[in-house]
Amino acid sequence: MRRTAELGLLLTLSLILSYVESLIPFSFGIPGIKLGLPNLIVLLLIYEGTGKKSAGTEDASRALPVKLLTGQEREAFLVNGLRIVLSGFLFGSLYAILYALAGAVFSFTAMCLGRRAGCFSMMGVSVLGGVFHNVGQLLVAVAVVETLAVAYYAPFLIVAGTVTGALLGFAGMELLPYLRRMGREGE
Amino acid sequence: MFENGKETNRNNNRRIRLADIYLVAFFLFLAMGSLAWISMGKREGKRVLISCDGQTIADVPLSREGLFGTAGNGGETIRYCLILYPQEGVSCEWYESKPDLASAVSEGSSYNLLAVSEFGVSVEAADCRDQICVHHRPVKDSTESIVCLPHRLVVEIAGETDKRTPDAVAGTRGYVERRGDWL
Repeated sequence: MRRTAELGLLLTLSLILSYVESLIPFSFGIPGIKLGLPNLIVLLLIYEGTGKKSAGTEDASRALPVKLLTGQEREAFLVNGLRIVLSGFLFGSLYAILYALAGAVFSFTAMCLGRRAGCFSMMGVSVLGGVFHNVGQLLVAVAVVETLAVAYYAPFLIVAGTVTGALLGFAGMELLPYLRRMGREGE
Repeated sequence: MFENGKETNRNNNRRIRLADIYLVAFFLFLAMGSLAWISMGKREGKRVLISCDGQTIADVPLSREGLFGTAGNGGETIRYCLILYPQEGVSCEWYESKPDLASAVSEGSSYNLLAVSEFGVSVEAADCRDQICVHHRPVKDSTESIVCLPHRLVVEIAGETDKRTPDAVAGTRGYVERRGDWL
C-alpha cells in the first residue's frame, strides 16, 4: 500500500510539473522545444523507485506484464504512462497524447538502457532521454506529414534535448537524496 | 561531492563522469554536423511548395510575376493563399489582398492562411489547436519549411534547380483528395 501511495504522490507531482510546463511560454520559433519537467520524476524513479526495494509484495506496478523491466523501471513506466494520458486529457488533446507517447517510448527506452550501461551518471542518462524524446517526436512528425521537410529541425532539437536534459539531470542529482530520505523515513 | 561512508557507491550516479561529457560532446557535434550539412544545400528560395498528406497542392514562384503576371511595381507585393480543409479533400485559393476570413472560410472547414512574398512565406492565421505554424518565423531559403501538424500541411521553400514532380498541381487553384481526418 505504501508504495502505491508514494507512486500516487509522484504521479500527482509529475502532473503538476506538466501543468507548470504548459504555463511557461517557451518558444524559439522551432516547434517542439520544451523543458520536459515531468521527466525529472521519471528519471528519479528509474534510479530509485520509491526508496526501499525489498517491500514489493503490494507493488501496484506488478500488474504490468512487463518482464523486461526491473522493479523501479516498471514503476517509472507506470507513472510515465499515466501521467501522459492524464495530462493529455487535462491540458491537451488526443493528438497531443500520441505525440507525447511517441516521445516517451523513445526517451524511456534510451534512459533505461543508459542507466543499465552503467557508464553514465544521471546527467548523461537525462541527456539521452531528452535527445531521444525529440528524435522520437520528429520521426512521428515525418510519418504524419509524409515528408522529410521537417527533418531540418533535427539539429536544433538535438541541441535542445541535450541542454534541457543536462539541466534536468543536474536537478535530479540534487533531488535524489531527498527522495531516498522519503523512502527511509517511512520504514 | 556528497560522500559519506557507505553511501559512496550509491552516490556514484550523482557525479558527472567522463562518459557524460563524451555523450554531450557527441550530440553537439552531431547537431553541428547536420546543421552544416543542411546549410550546404541551402540556396536562395525561388519557389514555394505547399503540400498536404504528402500530395502537392500548389507549387508557385516566390515572386509575384509567376502568379498574377504583374510585377511588384514598387508597392505591396504580399499575396495570400487560403488553404481550406472541408470535410473531404483540401483546396487552396489565392488572393491579392488579405481575405476576410469570416466570409472566405466556409462553414465547418478549417483553414491556414499563408502570406507569400519574395521575402518569404509565413502563416498569418490558422484555426489549428497548437498555433505552432502561426508562431513560426517566416521561411525564405530553400530547405526551410513550416509544418502544421494538426492539418498535416507542409509549406516548403525550394531553390530554382530543385526538381519535384508536381503530381497534383493545379496552378492557382488546386484540389486534391485528402485522407480521412487523422484522429
